[in-house]
Order: sequence, then structure tokens, then C-alpha cells
Amino acid sequence: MNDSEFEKLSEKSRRGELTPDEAAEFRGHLIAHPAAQAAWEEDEALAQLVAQLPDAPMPSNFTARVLTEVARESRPVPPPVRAAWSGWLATIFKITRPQRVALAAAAVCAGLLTFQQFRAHHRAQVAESLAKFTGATELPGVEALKDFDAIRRLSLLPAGVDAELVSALSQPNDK
Amino acid sequence: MSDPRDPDAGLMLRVKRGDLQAFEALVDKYRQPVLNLAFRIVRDATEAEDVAQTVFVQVWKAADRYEISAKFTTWLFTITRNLCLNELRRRSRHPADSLDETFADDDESPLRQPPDLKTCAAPDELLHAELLEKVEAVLAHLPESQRTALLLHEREELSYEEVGRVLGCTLPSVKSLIHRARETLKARLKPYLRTGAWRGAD
Repeated sequence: MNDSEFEKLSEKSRRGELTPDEAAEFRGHLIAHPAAQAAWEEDEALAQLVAQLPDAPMPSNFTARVLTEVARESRPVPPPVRAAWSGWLATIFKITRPQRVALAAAAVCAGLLTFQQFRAHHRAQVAESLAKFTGATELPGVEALKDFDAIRRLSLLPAGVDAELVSALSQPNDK
Repeated sequence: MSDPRDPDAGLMLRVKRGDLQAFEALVDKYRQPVLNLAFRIVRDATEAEDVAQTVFVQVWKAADRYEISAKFTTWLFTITRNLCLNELRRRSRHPADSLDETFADDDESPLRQPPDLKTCAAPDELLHAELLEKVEAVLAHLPESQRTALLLHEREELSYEEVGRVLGCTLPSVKSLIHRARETLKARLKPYLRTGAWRGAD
């Protein structure tokens, strides 16, 4: 009997699964090989010691705790609350890819058009303001503005500006 | 169709269909073996309890993945060992977390014999109890793979092939692990062999 066969019979002996013929063969081998018998007996005694090791302490409510945890894990999870906008987003993502591309392009064009119109309107407003500003009566020259009194009087001019007076003030001082 | 060699296969088929009673029967039957293995791998009573509980919760959650061709205990102890290894890895990353780790030769070990047994027991029983404590202590210092292989083979009576499936290693590797574990135990327990306490274990 080789080592492998001895090992197989040894395992079967440990489990009590030897047939009568196998048990006889196994016993015969042990008697014929005292060293193998001594080693086998040591292994058997060690196996019995390991089997006799005390059990780890078991909590009395172990099974109950497991069942509680299982019940908690099995509880149905409520569906997440979805925002209202996610509904139409989902609709968008249901359309095909070419449709999505076309939609995106249209959105970009619309945005550009709107921006252009805004700029044009803004420019028109600025031009109008500027026109109102430049439509005012021509300002007197710098020389006229040197005279403090003249400056002060400018603010007191009535709505209907005396063109002659303004003209006079714009003339260089001959004095 | 359940495997006639595996009486637990029928229970697991029922668990797969959501039968809580069958699941409870499996928990009651295997909670001690699972806890024993978990305790001797993680060496901490509290963590072992948590691991053992998680094992059964995982069994419930993964029941649909259980294959009838696999022996239930092989599958169960594979989950147990993997969760234990996760715990050992977690502990190695946070060594300060586990402060109540127990050792077999510690006075506070939950596996130590109660004092009244020590004062009233016959000498042979005391010697035997002391021998078991020594076995526990030597086991605790074996590499985890050797310790787990030996426990699964000697205590849970798994075959070499089944131990190999749990550990994820080949048959020769399993035999080598168990052989080395046995040799270490025999070498450390030699004094007891001489006193005859070894023989008294028969």
C-alpha cells in the first residue's frame, strides 16, 4: 500500500466509512508498519482533541437577531422621489439620438437669434439716448466756461434757450 | 432535485423560494459551527458574533445564487471564512478598533474552564482541560490558512476536496496545510504526550 492509498483509507477510517475488506487491509498495514501506526494514532488523538474544543459562547437571541436583520433587509425600499422636471427630461431621453441632436441645434440657434436681437435693441436704445443728448443746444466754448457766473447762469436758462445769448457767450472775449 | 447526500439541500431549495421557516431551521442547525469557526479565525468574541450573524444574512440574500450541486456546508463555510478575512483586513487597517480581542491563554478567554470545575474535577479531567487550553493556544498562533484548514477538516469533518473549495486552493495545498498544522500541534504538545494526557483523550 502506498502513501496515497494509506491516506485514503485513513480518511475513510476517520469517517467510519471503511468496508470490511478495507478495514482489514488498513489494520494489516498498521501492524506491519509500527511507525505509520504511531503517527496515525497521534493524528487520531489530535483530531479528537480538536473536536473536543469547547464551543464559542452563543448569545441566546442569536437566531432572533438574524431574523430581525433579514426582515429589515427584505423590507421593500420606497421608490425615490423624482422632481417634476425629471419627467420631461425622461421624455427627452426617450427620443432618438438624431432627434436629440436636432433639438440641441435648434435650441442653440434660437439662443443666438435672441442674443442678436437683444444686441440690436440695446444698440438702438443707446443710439436714441445719444441722439437725445447730442440734440441739445451746442455747448458754449471753453473760453465762455471760464467765467464762473456764465456757467452758473447756464443752468438758469429757461426751456426756450436764447440763441442770441448763447451765441454771444460762445464768441471769444475781445476784452 | 435535491442531492440525497446533502440533507440541507432541500432546506436551501425552500429558502430560495423565500421560506423563512426553512431558513430559521438552517440558522439553528449551523449557528454554533459558524460561530466556532468565526471565533477561531477572528479571535474576538464580539466580532465573531457579528460575523456569524452577517453570514446568515448573506445566506438569505444570496440564496438565489446557491447551486444545488454544491454541498451546503462548503458554501456556508466559504461565506464564513471570507467574511472573517474581511474583518481581519479591516482590523489590520484600524488596529485600535478591536480592544477586547481574546486569546486562548488569556485569563479572560471565554473558552477557559469555569473555576468550580477546576477545584472539584478529578486530576485526569483537569489535565485534559489544561490540554484543551494548550491546543487552543497553539491553534491561535497558527497561520490562518493552516488553522482554518485543520478546523474544517477535523472539527467540521469536511473532506480535503471540500476544504480546498472553501479555502480556494488545490488538494495538495490543503493536505500540506493540514499536515503542517498537525506537526506544529504535535511538537508543541509533546510534554502532554509523555504524561499520558494525550492517551487519555481517547
